Amino acid sequence: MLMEKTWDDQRLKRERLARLQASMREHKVGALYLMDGVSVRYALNLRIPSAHVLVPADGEPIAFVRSLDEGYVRLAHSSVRRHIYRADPTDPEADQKALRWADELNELMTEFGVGGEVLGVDSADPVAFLALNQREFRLANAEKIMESAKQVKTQDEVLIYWELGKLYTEIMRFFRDSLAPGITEQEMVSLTYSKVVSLGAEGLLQINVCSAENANPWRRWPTERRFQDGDLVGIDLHVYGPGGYIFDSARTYLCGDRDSEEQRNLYRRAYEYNNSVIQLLRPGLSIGDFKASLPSVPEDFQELLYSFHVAHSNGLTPGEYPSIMKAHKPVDDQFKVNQVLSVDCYFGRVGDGVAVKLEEQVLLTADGAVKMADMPYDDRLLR
Amino acid sequence: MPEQARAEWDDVRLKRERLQGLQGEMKRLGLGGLYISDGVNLHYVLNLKIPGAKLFVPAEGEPVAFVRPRDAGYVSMQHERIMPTLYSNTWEPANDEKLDRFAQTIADLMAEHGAAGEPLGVDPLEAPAFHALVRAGVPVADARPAIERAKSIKTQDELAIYRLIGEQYSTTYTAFREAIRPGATEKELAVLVGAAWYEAGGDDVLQLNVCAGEHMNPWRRWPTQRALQAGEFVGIDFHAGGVHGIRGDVSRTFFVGDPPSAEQRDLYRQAWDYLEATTDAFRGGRAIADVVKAVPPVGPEYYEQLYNYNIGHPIGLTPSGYPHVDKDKRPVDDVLKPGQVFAVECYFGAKGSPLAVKLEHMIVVRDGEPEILDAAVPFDERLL
Repeated sequence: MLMEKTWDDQRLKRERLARLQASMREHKVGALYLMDGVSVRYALNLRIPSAHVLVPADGEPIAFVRSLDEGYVRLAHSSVRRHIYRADPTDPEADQKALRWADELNELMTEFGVGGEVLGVDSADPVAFLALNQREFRLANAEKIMESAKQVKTQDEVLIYWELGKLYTEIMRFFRDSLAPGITEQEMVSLTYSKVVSLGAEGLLQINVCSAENANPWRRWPTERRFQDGDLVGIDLHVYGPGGYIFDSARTYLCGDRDSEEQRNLYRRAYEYNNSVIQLLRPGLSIGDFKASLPSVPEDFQELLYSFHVAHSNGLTPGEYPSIMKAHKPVDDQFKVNQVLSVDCYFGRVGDGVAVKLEEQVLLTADGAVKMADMPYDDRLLR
Repeated sequence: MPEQARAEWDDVRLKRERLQGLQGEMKRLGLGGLYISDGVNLHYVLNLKIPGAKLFVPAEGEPVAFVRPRDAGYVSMQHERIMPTLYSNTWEPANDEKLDRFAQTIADLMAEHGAAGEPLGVDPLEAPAFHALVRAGVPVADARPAIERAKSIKTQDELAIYRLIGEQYSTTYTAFREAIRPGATEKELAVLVGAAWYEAGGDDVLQLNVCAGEHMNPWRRWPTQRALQAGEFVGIDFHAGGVHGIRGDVSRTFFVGDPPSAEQRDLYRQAWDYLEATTDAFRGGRAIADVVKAVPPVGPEYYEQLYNYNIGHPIGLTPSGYPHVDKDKRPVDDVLKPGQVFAVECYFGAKGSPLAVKLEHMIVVRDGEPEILDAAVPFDERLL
């Protein structure tokens, strides 16, 4: 296996929960009730379909699971119960069940010593919301509390990302070396998937392979278009690694060997822009100052470039906080050590049919941003 | 993908018939509009996967998709009415003010479609967005009864895709079976199955369980580095994404090495007999309560773990849906309808024993006996 087990799962779970509970106390929230699968996984470090979790500001979270998942969940987590309420939209008694659930939540919060305090909820069905409103819960947006906890990675999260970086180095080399005229975008996806999982990844969240005019506008989903000699082929890859962590990077390569001066110019522009943005990043820099110091870009490239992020954090979901768009008002905050960011870059003019997409995932260290993978560029386009 | 299969469905008709079904349910349930945040529900209505998008569906007329600028390019090639996203991440401070504008825009769209003051169905959404709608005076209701009932009956084009998926399972599971040998790990087999699925023209690997030996009881789900040993079972349960995100769900169990013991043969036979009889109970027009009654009795040692699963559950873009068929819950007050697609489950393993057999059919309900979509997926005939 390319990836080595360098991290400690128990410590990962413990330190992540500590960050989450600190964020809860800071936001003055007594408990979180999380229904979103990824939020549940963050709180428990376990992937459990259809599970919910109650996280108290102090103490062990309670996992609410279906009977068929109870067996393996108990092997990994101490506090496990059957669901009190699970939205079944066509259940005629859903309203009453949701009210009973709200009453039980109230009791559980009291047992944890946080009765009557604010409850954070992530994404819930309307029946659940209406029940919580009827029982006069004071609600907060759990997503805000979670994002604040997730933005700085623990030591084990960083270790997982370094291992995933090795995988990306390997995958992008494989992708570059496998490109050949005649292969379709879909076939390239299939080849890349096999390589990704055989190297030890948990799976693929999203893979875009876009060639030639399919790269501008960026079509995302692969088609049956066959590569031709002289095509630029872009790949944007979101891989699930150990623990469900998502790495997010992109590259563009020449298929065959008939490159043009226009392609080289575009590639050089993208390469220089992406690397100069990375060099700006350092802990302590405010997001506003970062945006103000971005390299200038000719007007005809701005629309498409800035339709993507300037940079965004990654974790169990892609696009976590901080999430920086050129057009958005900057958040009043600064970069921090151990943030993990993907720095986006897309160079193409509207209507042009040619584009270069590059994206780099970096770790913020005291000395600045460090690339987490050594993914090759296309040297022929940087001549 | 076989060219012949591709010719058997029509993407435009698929989208149109889905929308007709959904709007019919909305009218029946008195919903003036829907606001859809869930990516899968959106994918269902537009027949298009758009990360980060939301959707307004009027009871009559074209849905309005709210998409991010980076996705507007390819979405506008396939859907007429699009607008920029009204809010993105609810945790961004800038979004607090956007949420009130979002609620107003939705209220305006309701009015534009002559549905001002009528209930707006929503699916799960973020707490601040829910509260913004309440503040704007929009009567909020649950969108999912309409969506779930509409999804439950597959259109002719969805069924054509399901038939292709059945064929793709057959080649994929045959590849799995051929790779079974002592020493191969659960993970290695999982990798092979994923690759075989893509090779068969599949779109996505959604959930893949490979469990060998004692990992089958309790069912551990996620594949590990455990190596297969001669003389044990290996089970697979695979949720695969086919064309347009339509999911399959089929399980099988095979024997590693040769020959199986009498106990293993007996367990496999009992499981298979149960599955075949249960599958046959799924008939169009039959009340769900009667389907439950028609399921054969099972030994008390298997009962608990077997009925931790559903007797059968619908599949579509999601791994379950309306209506569930369960053993010990009050049965859904409805009848099975032709065009519903179910996964019929079967797990035979006594609690505390390491031995288990997992099998699962994927079927289309019709008048009379069901159409078995995984008919060409092999069982282990050495055990029958």
